[in-house]
Amino acid sequence: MTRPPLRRHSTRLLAGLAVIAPMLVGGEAQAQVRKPEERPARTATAPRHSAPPRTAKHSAQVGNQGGNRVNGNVNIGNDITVAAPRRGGAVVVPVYPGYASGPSVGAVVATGVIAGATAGLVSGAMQQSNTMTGVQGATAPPGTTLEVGMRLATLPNGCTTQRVGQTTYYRCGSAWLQAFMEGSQVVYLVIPTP
Amino acid sequence: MQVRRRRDRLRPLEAMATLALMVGGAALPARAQGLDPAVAEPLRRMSATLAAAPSLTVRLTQLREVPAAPDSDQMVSLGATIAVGLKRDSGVAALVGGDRGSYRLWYDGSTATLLSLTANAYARAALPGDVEGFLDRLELRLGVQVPVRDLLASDSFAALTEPGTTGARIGRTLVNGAPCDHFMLRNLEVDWQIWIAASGQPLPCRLVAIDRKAPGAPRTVLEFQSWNLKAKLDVADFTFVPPPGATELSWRERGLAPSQPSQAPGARP
Repeated sequence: MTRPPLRRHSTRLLAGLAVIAPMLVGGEAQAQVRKPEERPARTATAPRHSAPPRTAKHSAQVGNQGGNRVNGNVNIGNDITVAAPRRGGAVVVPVYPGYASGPSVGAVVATGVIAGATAGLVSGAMQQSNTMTGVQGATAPPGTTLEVGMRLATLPNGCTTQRVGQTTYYRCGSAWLQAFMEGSQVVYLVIPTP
Repeated sequence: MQVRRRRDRLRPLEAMATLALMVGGAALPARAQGLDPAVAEPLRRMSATLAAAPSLTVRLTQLREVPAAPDSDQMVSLGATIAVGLKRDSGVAALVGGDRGSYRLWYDGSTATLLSLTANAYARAALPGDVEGFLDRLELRLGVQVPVRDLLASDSFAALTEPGTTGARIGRTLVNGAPCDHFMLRNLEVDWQIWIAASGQPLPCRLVAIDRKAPGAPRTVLEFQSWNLKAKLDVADFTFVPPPGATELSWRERGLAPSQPSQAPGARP
């Protein structure tokens, strides 16, 4: 079966968060625990369970397309991409601003919300995650000296990119950083000069 | 929902429980002794219903209450909205939007790809094996948790009711307006509850788990919004195509140094 082409719409969301991702388009719901709201697949209405309304503390910027990180701010794409519906509606999930990315929560993040968040989802699994990731997600406060081995959830302000061979690095003052995926998160690791 | 502990952590505890049973002083009845049929049978029917679906999609919300800091007794609630699609002979796809980040996940039967939506960066890893065990491997090797792991196993009853599990039926209630039966269960580390639809197909309405052994006893609440056991999924749903401008990153495995990313066709660093 050929998957229908994706269609991009540029309708701005009123609720402040984008609905992303289309897919998981299926047949008619066969066993809904709770009947979902009737919602056309291509409306610009945020789903019921989107994040709470943003306040001035939130760093997510609505109004920019894409999902690009710019110096710690997260631009939540507000374009809606939906698959043309087949027999049923697309399953959509909202993109959250994400606490690990916002400078407004930097102080809290740095003191452990992110580390705590990885501890103990349920049963032993998350303890393993915590062991693997350690303290993660800190946003370096201004003036922090970036030492080799530090891991950051966001790039400090003023960093530039630099390619060495096939690899992209970030230059933040005299420090070199490289991005990795850890679990489901992007982490910037301070590394020795490549 | 990870009410099941990892196998590598199970063994010492299982051994202790088994030994206790052997000497006749078991305080923790094992599954071999039999879970109360009033609990086991609805769970088995739910498991059989899920297993009978060659493909399915589910959409749910997750609320996790975790310590605000490693040594803090103040709890913080983190939310997420999750959609998962599974075709047992083809692959898995997931969409996750949450306070801890938003991402998409693809698994085509051999390779897992995760795209961070906020960073527009992705990573890929070879995870060969059966589709139903993919979420296990993903969590074990790469630390990515999709909280419906146990429910999507080929035998979710076995996945959920590990040795040492006890349980009881509490009663019937409404979950989001639908009648559901409420059960409470306990294994060696986790107290968990499940609400199973009392009309129509016996599918999960809600699932709550508290990890008694973890610091702060984190609590997770899953609210299932919709199940579709006749989802029309095809290979394209499990195939990753790099979005414009996406950067490929190394995916750090547990305990291993990151390797250089492979060259992704179409990827533009």
